[in-house]
This record gives sequence, structure tokens and C-alpha cells, in this order.
Amino acid sequence: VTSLRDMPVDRKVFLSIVTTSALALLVALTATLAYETATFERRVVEQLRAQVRLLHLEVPLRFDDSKATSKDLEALGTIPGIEAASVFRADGSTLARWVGTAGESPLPEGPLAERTRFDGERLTLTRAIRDEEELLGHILVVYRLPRLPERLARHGIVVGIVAVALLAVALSLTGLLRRLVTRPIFELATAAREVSARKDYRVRVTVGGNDEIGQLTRAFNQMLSAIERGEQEQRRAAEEIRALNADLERRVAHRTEQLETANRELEAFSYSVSHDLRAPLRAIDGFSHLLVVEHGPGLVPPARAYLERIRNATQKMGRLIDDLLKLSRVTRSELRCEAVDLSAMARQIAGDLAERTPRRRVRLGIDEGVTALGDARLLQVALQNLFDNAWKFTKRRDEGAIAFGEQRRGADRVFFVRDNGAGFDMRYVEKLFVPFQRLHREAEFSGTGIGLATVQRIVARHGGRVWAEGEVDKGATFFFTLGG
Amino acid sequence: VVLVPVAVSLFIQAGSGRGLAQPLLEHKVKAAFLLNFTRYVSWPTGAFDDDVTPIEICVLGRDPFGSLLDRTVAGRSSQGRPVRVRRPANAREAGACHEVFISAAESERQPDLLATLRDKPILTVGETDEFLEQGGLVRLVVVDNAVRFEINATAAARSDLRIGARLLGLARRVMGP
Repeated sequence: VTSLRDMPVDRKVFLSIVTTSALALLVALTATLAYETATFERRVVEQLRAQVRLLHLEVPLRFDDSKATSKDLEALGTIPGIEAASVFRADGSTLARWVGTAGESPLPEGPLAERTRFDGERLTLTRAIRDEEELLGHILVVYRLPRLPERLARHGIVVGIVAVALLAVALSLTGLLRRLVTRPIFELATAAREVSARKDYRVRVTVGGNDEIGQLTRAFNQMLSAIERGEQEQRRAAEEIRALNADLERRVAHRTEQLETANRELEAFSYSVSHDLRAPLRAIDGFSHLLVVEHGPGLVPPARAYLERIRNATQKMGRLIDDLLKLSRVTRSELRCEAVDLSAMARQIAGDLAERTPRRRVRLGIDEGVTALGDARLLQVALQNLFDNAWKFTKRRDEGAIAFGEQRRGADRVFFVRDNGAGFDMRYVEKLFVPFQRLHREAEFSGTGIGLATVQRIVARHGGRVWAEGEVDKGATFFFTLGG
Repeated sequence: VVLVPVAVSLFIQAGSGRGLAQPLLEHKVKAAFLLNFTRYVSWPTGAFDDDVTPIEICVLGRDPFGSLLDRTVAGRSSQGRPVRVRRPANAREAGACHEVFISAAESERQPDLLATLRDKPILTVGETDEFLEQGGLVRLVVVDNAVRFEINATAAARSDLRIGARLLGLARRVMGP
């Protein structure tokens, strides 16, 4: 079936014509044979009637001449198909009989009651012989229908000639159909193959006529035109998008450059402002110190108190300026990556804090062997800030607890600093890392509001991120990753 | 139709007997032959007065049939005409007959009788060996226990009688031109 499906169309056409013709021939042959069989009896009966009329068998019957009758039957026997024959007298006795040499024939001993007996192969006819209304006797003739092979052989030559003629007609018809049907289809198929192979939609097929193939060809051409148009439009659209993208990229690069320039200028400005602010602040601090030391005892108590407040404010401003400069440095300085032992770093920071405030009782839990790849100086600043915070917010606890360690979350290594301090309300978690934003009053916990912003800047520069979890009075945990 | 059994019975005896041992049977067959000859012979138009004129079968001289011939012919027709049997007293009277039978017993008178009937449209039927040579038309002869006949076609032509080809075909011998 598959091979039939894959067969070229003109072969299919040829095959179908030949098959149809052969079938028609077969049907015709069968019909002829069937007709022969069906009409055999009628033809034979007519033949016999004519023969008997011609023989005038009533005459020898009248004169009871069996010799002459035998001769007549012999003559009758030369007719092809007649196998045996006999003539009976009116009383049923045999006057004469003749049996062909073809073999023994079941010749009845008397006339049959029925005029016609057909047993498939043999036809036995019985006819009365009358003269002037007088029954003189009967003639009985046995016919044999030619066997199928003989009849086929008889038709064989005709069938052969017709078959050859059919083949010739089929061939010429195939030629005609090839011109009318197959070639347009072939051209269409070739064009379709070419189009799909080369993606060349400029191909066009010549339209032959206005039949289905012509319509198909026209539709194919129209489809190709439509595809070609679509292709052109698509190409133009792609070109436009590319141009737009290029323009966009150029503009983004330009804006980025502008932004970076602005950022740099802004940082330089804030750095110089911070830096320049330190000189007058040092003067205020220095001279207010001198005033306390040299003229303190001479001042009235309120004046001394005012002076003290000036000095506190000055120092706080100094710290603020230091932090701003640190933040600025974090942003500006070059990143130098190396393996850093975060455990050791955390221990050293915690030790410094414990030394500075010996009265505090803080339980430390620092995991061993936590290392990371990063800038040691910046990571020191980040850890310092996180520990400073933890230390500061656990000061109200009888026994503070601060832990440092590392967790695995999927592929990420997450570092954390956890404390059991004042904690915070998760509703304001967003504000934690914004510069100068504070969740606690200055009177409760001192600070500049720059520490966590600095931590976020450092972590971001390492390609990581920082986030916090906490609850009021239950402590806080700060997590960070360091990216790749 | 009524008389079909007569012919049938004749043939039953002829068929089953397969011989003519008895003279009675031989005469029965000969009587039938006399009737049947009339069926295959054409007489000239002048031989009949009109369409319904009967065919006359005459027995000239000794009659060996008795009533057999009359019984055979009774009610039968030939060529659409009724058939009648007549026994003329002499040859002159036989002039109006269509068929004349002369038995073997009349062999002495036979040449004279035949001479009288010569060239007339009369089918003469006889039994003696020299019947045809003496101018007779049909001679009945018994061969192998079966009745057969011989025909003198020349004499028939002279008599203006046309004998059917099929009848000629059955003849054991045909004398002719």
C-alpha cells in the first residue's frame, strides 16, 4: 500500500486505466460466457427445428426406413455440439440412432416426456415429428455445451487482441493525461519542493488551464505571493526593531554614562563636604576642650553644662562624618578578592567589643571554619557593622546572645548574624537598609543610621544580597550572601 | 386423429416383429405404403376436378388386401384431399384413378394393363421383378424382411408426375435418365 502511495502519479494513472480496462474485459468475457450459456438452449432449439424441417424425417418415418434415417442422423451429427441423436416411432420404439465418436453418450431408449432437459453440460431435446397433424414419431438430440477451456480458447484470440488494443489505448491515454494532468502536478510538486528546500518564495508555476489543477496552481502562486509579501514585511519589521534596539542601547549607554558621571560627581561632592566639615569641627572640639580644661572651674554651672552638650554634639557629628566617609569609601574603592576567614574575623570583632565594654555579659556562638571569597577590608567593615548592631541591641538583656554562622539554601551559601536583642517590627523591614532611617529612638539605642546601608552596599558590590528577619523583643537575624 | 391408432398399431407390429413373416403383416405395410406414396407425388392440375376432389387409390385385378386397404385409408387425407379406394373392373375404368396397384397375381395381364395406363398421370404400383421395365412407376420389393420400393423416374416424367426428392431418396433403386 505504501509503495502504491509513493508511486508517481502518471504510473498510478496508467495502472488505474489498465486495471479498469482489464476488469471491463474480464466482465465482458464473463458476460459473454454467461450469455452463451443462457442462450445456448434457445440457439440449439432453433437450430434443431430448422434441421428437422430440412431433413423431412416424416418421410422415412412414413416408410419405416431405418437405414435412411440413420444416414440423416449421421448428417445431423456433423453439426458441432451434437453428441448423439435418435428417432423413435410413434409407438416409442427406436427407428434409428446415431452416437458421435466423442465417447459414450447417455442416449435414452425412448423419447423423453419433457421437450428440454438440461443437466449443466448436456442439453437433451425431444421433438415430435408430425405430418398433416399426424404424430409420426419423435426425434431426440443430445447437445453438449462446449467446456469452459474450449470456450475460453475460442474467445482467447479476441480477448488477446482487445487486451493489446486496451494496452495501446491505455498508453496513449496516459500520454494524454500526462500532458493534461500529471505534468502540471509534477511542476507544482517540483516548485513546492524547491520552495521548501531553498525558502525562495519568488518561484511561480505556469497556470495551464482553469480546471482543479489550474485552480490549485493559481492558489499556490497566490500563497507564494502572500508569503513573499509577509516575508518582506517581517524583514522590514525586524530591521525596524533592530534599529530601534540599537538606538535604545545607544541611549541607555548614554544615560548610564550621564548617571555614572552624576553619581561620581555626587560622591565626590559628599566626600569633599564630609572631609571639609571635619576641619571646622576639629576646631570646635579642640577649642571647647581647651575651654573646659583651662576655664572650666571658673564657669558658672549652667555654662559648664552647655559646654558639655556642645562637646557631645561635636563628637556625634564627628562620628557621623566618619561614617559618611566610610560609606563613600565603600562605594569608591576597588574590589580586591581573596579567601577570607570570616570565623576568625568575627571572633576578633567580638573580642574587641567585649574588651571595650567589660561589664556586658554576652554569650557568643561563632561557628568555626566559615570562609568566603571577597574583599577582606570591606567584609571586615560589614561584619563590624552587623556585630556593632547586635552588641548594641542586646545591651538591655542580662545575658546577651550573638551567633555567627553559615547555612545552605539550595545552591546559595547564606551567612548570618543572630542576636536576642530588641528586634524589630517586620512591617518596617524595608526601611532597615535605607541610609539615615532608624527604627529606634536615639535615646534608646544610639547610632547614625548609616551602618546597615553600608553593609548593603558592601554585599551588593560582592554580587550578593542582604535581608533581615525579626520580631519586637525577640531578637533579629541578618542574612547575607556574597554571590559567586 | 381417430385413425392414428391404426397406423400406430401397424408400426407396433412392424417394429416389434422386425420381420414380415406373415403375409397379413406384409399387406398391412404395403397398404400403408400405397397411402403414403400419394403424399409425396404431385399430379398435374388437370388430374383433379377441383380442390376437394379425392385422391383415388385403385386396385386393378386381384385384390390381395381384402378390407385392409379400405381400413388403412378410411378417414385419412393426403395433400389436403380425402382418399378413396376403388376397384375398377378394367384398365379403361382405371383411367380416372390417381394411383393404381397391380398385384403379383396379375403378372400375365400386367404388360397390357400397363400399356393402357401408360403416359397417363397415374402412379402405377406393382410387385413383379419386371414391373418397372414394363413401364410401371413404383415397384414394391421385400428386402431383409422389410418392404422397400424402386422408382422409374423416366416413366414418371413421361406421365407428368413429379415424385418428391425425399421419396426418391428412400427408393432402393431409381431408374432414370
